[in-house]
This record gives sequence, C-alpha cells and structure tokens, in this order.
Amino acid sequence: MPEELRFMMRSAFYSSFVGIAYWLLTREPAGTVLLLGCGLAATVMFGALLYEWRRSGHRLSGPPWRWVLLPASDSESHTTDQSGRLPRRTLAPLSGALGIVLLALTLVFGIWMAVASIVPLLIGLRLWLRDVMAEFRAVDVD
Amino acid sequence: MTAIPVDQPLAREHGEARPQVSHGLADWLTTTDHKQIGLLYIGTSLVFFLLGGLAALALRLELAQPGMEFVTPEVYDQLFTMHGTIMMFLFGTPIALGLANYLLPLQIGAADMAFPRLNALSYWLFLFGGLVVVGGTFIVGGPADAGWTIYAPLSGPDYSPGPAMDMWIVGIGLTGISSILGAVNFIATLFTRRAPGMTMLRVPIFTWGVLVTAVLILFSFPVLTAALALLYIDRHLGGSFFEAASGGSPVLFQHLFWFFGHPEVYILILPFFGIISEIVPVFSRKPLFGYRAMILSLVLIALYSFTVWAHHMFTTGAVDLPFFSFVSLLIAVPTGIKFFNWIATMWRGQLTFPTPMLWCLGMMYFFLIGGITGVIVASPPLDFQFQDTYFVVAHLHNVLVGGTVLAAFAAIYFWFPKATGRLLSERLGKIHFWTFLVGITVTFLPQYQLGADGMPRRYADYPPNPGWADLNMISTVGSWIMAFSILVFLVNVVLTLRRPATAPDDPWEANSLEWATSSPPPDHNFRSLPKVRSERPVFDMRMSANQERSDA
Amino acid sequence: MTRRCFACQVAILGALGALASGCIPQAATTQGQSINSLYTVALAMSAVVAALVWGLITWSVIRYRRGKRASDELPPQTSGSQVLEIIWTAGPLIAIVILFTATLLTLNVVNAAPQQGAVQLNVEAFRWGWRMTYPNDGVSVEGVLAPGPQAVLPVGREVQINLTSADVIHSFFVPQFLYKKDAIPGHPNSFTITIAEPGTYAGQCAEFCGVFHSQMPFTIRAVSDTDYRAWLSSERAAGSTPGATP
Repeated sequence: MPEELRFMMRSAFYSSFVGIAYWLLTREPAGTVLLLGCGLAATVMFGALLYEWRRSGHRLSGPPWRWVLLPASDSESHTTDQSGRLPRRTLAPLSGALGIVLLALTLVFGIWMAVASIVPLLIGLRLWLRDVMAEFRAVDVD
Repeated sequence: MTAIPVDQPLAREHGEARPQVSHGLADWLTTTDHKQIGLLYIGTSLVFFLLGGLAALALRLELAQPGMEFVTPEVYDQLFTMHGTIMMFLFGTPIALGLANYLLPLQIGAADMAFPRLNALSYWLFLFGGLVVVGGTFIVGGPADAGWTIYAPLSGPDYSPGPAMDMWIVGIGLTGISSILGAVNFIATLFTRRAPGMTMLRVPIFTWGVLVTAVLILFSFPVLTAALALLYIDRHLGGSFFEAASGGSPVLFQHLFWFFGHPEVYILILPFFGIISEIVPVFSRKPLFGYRAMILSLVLIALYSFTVWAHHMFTTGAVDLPFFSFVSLLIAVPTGIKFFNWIATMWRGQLTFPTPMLWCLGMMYFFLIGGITGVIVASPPLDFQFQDTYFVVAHLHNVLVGGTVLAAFAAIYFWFPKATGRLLSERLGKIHFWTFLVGITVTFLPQYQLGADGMPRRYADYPPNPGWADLNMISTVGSWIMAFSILVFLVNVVLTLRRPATAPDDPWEANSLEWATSSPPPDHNFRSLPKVRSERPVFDMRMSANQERSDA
Repeated sequence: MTRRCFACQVAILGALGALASGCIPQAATTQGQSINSLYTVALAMSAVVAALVWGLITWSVIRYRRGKRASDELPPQTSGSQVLEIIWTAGPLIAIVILFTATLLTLNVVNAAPQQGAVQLNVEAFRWGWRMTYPNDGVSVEGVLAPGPQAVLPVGREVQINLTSADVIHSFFVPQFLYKKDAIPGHPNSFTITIAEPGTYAGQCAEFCGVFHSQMPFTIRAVSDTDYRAWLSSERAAGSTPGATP
C-alpha cells in the first residue's frame, strides 16, 4: 500500500481514537466534533485514494499490521505521470489567483468585484487548461 | 524519479555561464520553478515582517510611558491587531513554506514539486490575500481591530461593523487556502518524488519537519476557514452561531479558532526545529544524534498539538481543565527530547561557530525560557494569573521570536550561498546576531515580570503602578535595538547581492542532497544525483571521494 | 577562569534567569495562597531544568570547540543511544507527572464549591464598566470607566462571585487574588474566594473588549465582617440606586 494511503489510514485511526477518548473524558461537543471530523475527512481521503489505486490494477497484500506500522516499499509507490516533464512558464497561476481574490472580494464590496474577476479568472483558466491538454496529449495515457 | 524536462532547453553544458537566480520581471511573474517561488515567498514574507515590525515599534513607543502620547486607543487597537495578524499569517507561516518550497525538492533529489503550477498559484494567492488583509489600512476607519484572534462577539456584526473586519476575513481565508494547497503539494511531492534509494527513513530531518507541518496545515486550516465562514454568516447573512442572545455561543468560536490556532503555532516552529537539526550537525562535524528519535518527536508534537487547543481557554470556565492541562504539559517531553539530542550532537564533536551556528545556539538558549514558561502556563491555577497578561505576551514572543525568527535567520545565512551563489558577510552577520540577541532579551524578558505583576495584554494604556513604567520603557528600548539589528541584516543582504556569485557547491561541508548541486542550482536542480544510502548522502559522497583520493 | 568554573557560573545564571519569569504577588485569598505554593514548586523545577540544559549547552560549546590547529580527522560519528533516549524521555515525564499532580491538588482547592451561606456577588461586565449586585441584600454598585465601582466584601468568609456579560467577552481579574475568570455573554461563570487580608485590591478587565478595554478598572475593598454588614445596611438605607462609589 503506497505511503499516502498509509498516512491517511493512520491519521483516520488517530483522530477517531482521540475524538472518542475526548468525548468519554470531557463530554464536550465542539472538540469531539472537530476531532471526529478530522477522522472522517482522513477516512474519506483514504477511501478515495484506495479506489484510485485499485482502479489502476493494484491489490492489497500482506498482513494489515504492516500497512499501519511500516513505511511503503518503493515498488508500491505509484504516480500517474512518470515522464518527469515539468510544466513551462505560464501566467495562469498569477491571473487565476488575481481572479480568485477579486471574486472573494465580492463578499466585502459587492457584485462589481465578481464582474472584475471574470477576465483574470478566464484568462487563468484558459492558459492552464491549454497547457494541461497539450501535456495530456503528449503523454501516452495508461 | 528524476525529471527529464521536455519542451525545455537541454541542460547546460560544462563550462557555460552559471545559472542565474534572477531573470527578468516576466520570468518571475510566470515562473513555476519551486526555487523562484520559494524565494518569492521568503522575500514577500520578509517585507511583511518589516511591516509588522513597524507596527510593533509604534505600539512599543506608545507603551513606553503611561498616558496616550502618540496614538488614540482606536489606532492602538489596530496596531496590535495588524502586528499579530501580519506576523502570524503573513510572515511566520509563509517564510516556513518558502524555505520548504526552496529546499524540499532539492533535499529529496526531485526536479520540482509534484504540482508546480499549483505551487505558483499558492504563492500568488498568498500575496494577493496578504494585500487584502493589510489593504484595510487604506479604507475609511482603518484596518481590523479585534486582535489577531478576532473573538466573537467582538468581531461580530454588532461590535465590528464595517468592511475592515470583512477584508480581514476574506484576506486570511485566501491565505489559508494558499497554505492548504501548499500543504497538499508538499505531502504529494515527498511521498512520490524521492530520489532512488531515499526511503522515508533517509529523508533529511528538515524535510520531515516540513511533512509534519504540512499535515498540521492540512487538518487545521480548514477549521479556520470554517470559523471565518460562520463568522461571515453571522455578520452579513443573519446567522447567530456566535450570538448568545439568539442561542449561539461565543465559546464555540474559541473552540474553532484554537483548534486551528494551536496547530498553527506548531506550524510556525516545527520546520524551524528541523532547521536547527540540519545545521547543528554540520558545524559539529557529527551526524544528528538520534535521527529516528527526532522524527518521532516531530510526529508526537504534531499529534499532540491537535489535542491541546483549549489551554488557551482555561479562564472561560467552559473546558475540562485536567485533560487539557495534562496533554499540554506532555508536549514538553518530545520538545525536551529535541534539546537533548541537539546537545548530544554537539557533545564530543568539533564545533565551529560561523553565523548560522550562532543563530542555532542563540535559539537553544533563548527558546528554552519560552518552553519552560509554556509549561508554567499549562497549569491552570498558574494560568489564572497569567492568561491575557504580559506573561503570555512574553512567552509567545519568547518562542516565536526566539524559535522561529532566530532559526529563520540561521536558515537564511546557511542556505543563502546555495540560493544566490554568495556567502553573507560573517562580520555583519555576527553584529546582526549579537544585537538581535541583546534586543530580544531586553524587549521580552521584562515582560514576564509585567505579566506576573498583573499588567493585562492589549492595553493601550496602563495605570501608573509601581515598576510598570520602568519595565515598559526597558522593553521599548529593546525594540529599538531589535530594529537596529534588522537594519544591519538588510545592509548585509544588499551588499552581498552586489558581489559576484562565486560560492562553491558545498561551502559548509554539509550533509544533504542540495549541497550536491551548483550554487545556485540549475533549472531542473540536478545534472546527476549521488547514490542515496543514508540520511547524509553528500557526506557519504565526500567520504568516498576522500577515500579514493587517499587510495590513489 | 577554568572551564569548570565558567560552566558553574552559567548554570547559576540559568537558575536566576528562570526566576526572571517573575515574582507574583503574595495572594490575599486562601485559594490564592495554594497557587503561590504551586508557583514556588514550578519555579524550582524550572530553575533546575534551565540550569541543567544551559549548563550542558555551555559546556559543549566550550569543551568541544574545534581547535585552530585541528587535523582534518572527524570526531567519532556517534549517531544515537537507546539508553540516553529512554533517560531523557523518562526524566521529563516524571517531572511532568509531578507538576500535574501538584496542579490537580491546587485546582481542588481553587475550584472547591462554596459552603452554604457564602456571600453572593453578581457581577455584570459591559462596555465599559461593571455592575455589581448583592442579590440577597438589594444593594448594587456600578461604575463606568475609571475609577470604576468599588465592591465591599468581608474578610474570612466565602464569597461566590457570579459573572455575566451584557455584550462582549470581558474578564474579571484581580492580580492580588492570583485569579481571573471570563465574563461571557450567554455563559454565566462562578468562582469562590475567601479573602484573608483586609485591604483595597485593584481589579481590571482582562479580555480585549474594545476601545476602552484598558479603562474599566474596579476595586474590591475587604473589611471585617462587622464593617461589611454595616456598609450593606447603609447602602440599603441610601437606596440601592447604582452610582460610582469613592
């Protein structure tokens, strides 16, 4: 099981365990919800990662205690793009960030900020998608 | 997996001009290179540091004597709010992320982060979000003034109406999202981009510090975002989550805020513990003592930090005192393990004291006081006196300035040659170090006594109680010494950048992979990677080169 | 000066430095006095830790400097010791348990519920002053900004103070009692004190509440039980209309 799955699983165990212990010791609702919430989030992420990993053909093997306690072996780590390509320089992150911030400022200054955000957001999205599609086409999909 | 870039020029041949750090403006605006992004983060956070420092100088000037001499109470409240906000959110966290951004791929032998464009997006969100936060200064009425902790109902619609508080909420929400995206990137990169042979238990200790920090960010920042969203709903959409009169609870805000807030302060220190653990072994000519114990202590601190949040709420009468007291006291144990392992690293070593090592030693001496006083306030009966007084102000600055800032300077002096090809001046560095150490001692240690005497924090003015004016004056003088020290640092940086870039690959004889490439590194970091067989690959490489030379 | 002597001096400085964490007032309440004892324990432990750690750092820095004529040879590359890790984990753990036990014992004293017949004082905090009511006696004192209201309380009797807030969170803080508690709207708080010494004790708001947070003091004047009852009667006779009292 790859490192990231192990990590999410351990986080889920820890948060849930502490959340339950916290409730039993203090009966305080806010903290319990937050701790169990972290546990739930980690469980969901574990589930999603596990689904993706199995979908690309891997299967769980070995005794469960190894998953929890030991680090992953190199052969278990898996990344979708092994080409090692790096993206080229692009204005997309700057433009996109500007658009996001202007959009968020709608909450302070009203709907006109949303209007102002349209152009940088669209430019950012367009540039980003264009680069991503080009890279996608250049790599063999497995 | 080392990356082979496509659609990019081939790696520079031997003998060609050194890679440059700074290219044109367009280069910086469109970069997806983690090294440039890291430098952008560090540079921006240092600018915010100066801004937050100016706010501190102003408020310390006001506090030097009783009576309101320079500012009104309204402006004073804005000054301490912006000081805390800028230092916590716009300096401390980003400088940690900037150092991590620069170093993590290099330390694990990767060509870049797993998501380079997302990395750039994180930086620009941080910059623009930060500008929104301080932008409140320029609107009518000035910036937010409810403290960096913005407790409800003070931050709610009845007591902080107006756009300043909303700008704070939006700006901090955006920088929070920036941090979360960065955390995802660090975790993904570390798990999937390590060089061949680099198992998790051979990863450099700084990178381990970054990993636990990223995990803390991943689980704590969303809670802050939620708290801000609920606060916004209370303020503008008729919500009453935190309004007691309508069935809400102000204490709930504190739970949400501190569930984030406590991991936040560990986010601010754990990478810097990692930095000390990187630098001390180099200048002791020994490996880090107890590498695995150090990893375990990082992990334990991170785990505990999620269970102690309500020690900020001991005086609310709404939390279980024994539970939070016990876990808060317990955090001292893994922190102590770190100190003892650093000492053991130096023990029977061959110590030298260039500026980076001085910063590390200064941190060990000064941070210890903060750690001890942290244990003191972890005991509720003692906290009943110290909560919300200058004792806590002294403690928090003791650990943040004495921990984060001292170690940040250590990192800057240590990795400056790697990033720019130039070594910072040792003479100016030593002046910077000693004046800063004196400055922080004079500024913050008297504040413990002020707090013990009962001077509350966030007080624009104080009664002329015996001793209070003197202690405040001493503290203010200390702030001027600190300011002078920072000037020396800025002069050092400016003068050094003017010199030619002639630093060698490995000027300090260090241990980790970033020292195996040129100073500064080329575009995709490594032309070739040494074999990784331990947590000190460059040390191993140097030893086998020496062996070959002596065999020949 | 020999190396050993220098290290000793630093260790002593360390202990003093730990004491720089400040001297707290001698408490005027019986509950506060147990906090004084706890603080002494905590300070003593701190001094020991500081002296030990600073001493060790200083010793390493002096003793293990790399000399100018040093050869290129590396020192022994010791990288760990299970035994040491256990020792310096167990040691602090024991210290923590001691401090925690002392904390619990003190908490039991400080948070002990009052007996029957304790004096009741209801305190309502607001922006920016205090309204203090004696519910069983129909007396009330109130003050806005400085100098604030003065509440008279008896020495030697248990007093239960009940805190609320009319607007934002404030905090009722009397440094000479070594105690504070937050006044939170919608969340009433109570605590019990037994004042041991007559005197006038300054109080302050200790939770940031806005522009005049630093301008809402109050005072507690502790007198003998007889004087206290006399004061109550005269206040009742004067009509319990709120007004700042000298």
